Amino acid sequence: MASSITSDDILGKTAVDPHGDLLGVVVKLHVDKHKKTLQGITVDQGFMKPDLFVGIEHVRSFGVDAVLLNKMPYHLLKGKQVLSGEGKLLGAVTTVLIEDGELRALMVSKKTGAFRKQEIEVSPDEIKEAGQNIILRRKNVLEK
Amino acid sequence: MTKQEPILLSKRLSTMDNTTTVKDYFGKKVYSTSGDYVGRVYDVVLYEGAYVGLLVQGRRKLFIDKDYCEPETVDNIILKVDPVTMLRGKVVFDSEGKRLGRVVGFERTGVRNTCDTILVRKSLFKKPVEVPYADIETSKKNIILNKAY
Repeated sequence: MASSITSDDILGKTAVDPHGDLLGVVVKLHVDKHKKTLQGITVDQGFMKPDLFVGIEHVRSFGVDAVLLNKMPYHLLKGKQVLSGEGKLLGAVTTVLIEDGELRALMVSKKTGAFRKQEIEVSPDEIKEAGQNIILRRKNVLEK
Repeated sequence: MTKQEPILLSKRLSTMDNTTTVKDYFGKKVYSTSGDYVGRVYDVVLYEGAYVGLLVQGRRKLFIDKDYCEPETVDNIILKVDPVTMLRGKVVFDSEGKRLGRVVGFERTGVRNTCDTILVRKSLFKKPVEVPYADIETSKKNIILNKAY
């Protein structure tokens, strides 16, 4: 029983993504009623935000004070500003396209006039870093 | 009215194309390599007549050497590093998810963008704990260590 924990040790803990971002509080545990194994957890992201289900394969460890995840939820990229490798502001992420749990593309749009909008598609290979803002790789690096 | 081009009196330059002026840097936003906002450029530093770095106003005033800046950037300046000063205030978790506290300071031996230890304090009345910089696994929004404490 030394390595086992109870639901009390998980519920109410903060879920932390691999970047250290605090996602919210674990409010539910999902158990497969046939296999009797833990399927995942539900994270309450706070007021006016939808709950987030995290599969057990994306949980790195159940810690003393936090539940560490091994994958960043891609939907958190929405609304972030995107800068080119040269520092030019390209716009903000409006849509995150996810296919089979993997990031396929980001739709980035920027206002170019009162009623005009420019929209570009960014593939995951072009992303250098995604922190507070997203920085893309330099074009000459991609060409190489 | 079109802007008047300056008349060149130079031994070095024959055209003003591909040159930047100090004014071009003022007010530019500076981002770390992780994409975090660092501050805005409020001055440019010259040493013996040559450009050596930027003064940036963020949460604190910073001098950032030009070697830490990505070359040929437009509109905004992107750094090649995450400034160590940005560690302050981040929450620290160990590898087992234990919350150690917040970074309240760091100890450096020089002026380079590295530090030896970070000082982590759990609550106001507790003494800060020293954590070696080498124990940091990820330092983005918050810090996750590669060791259990």
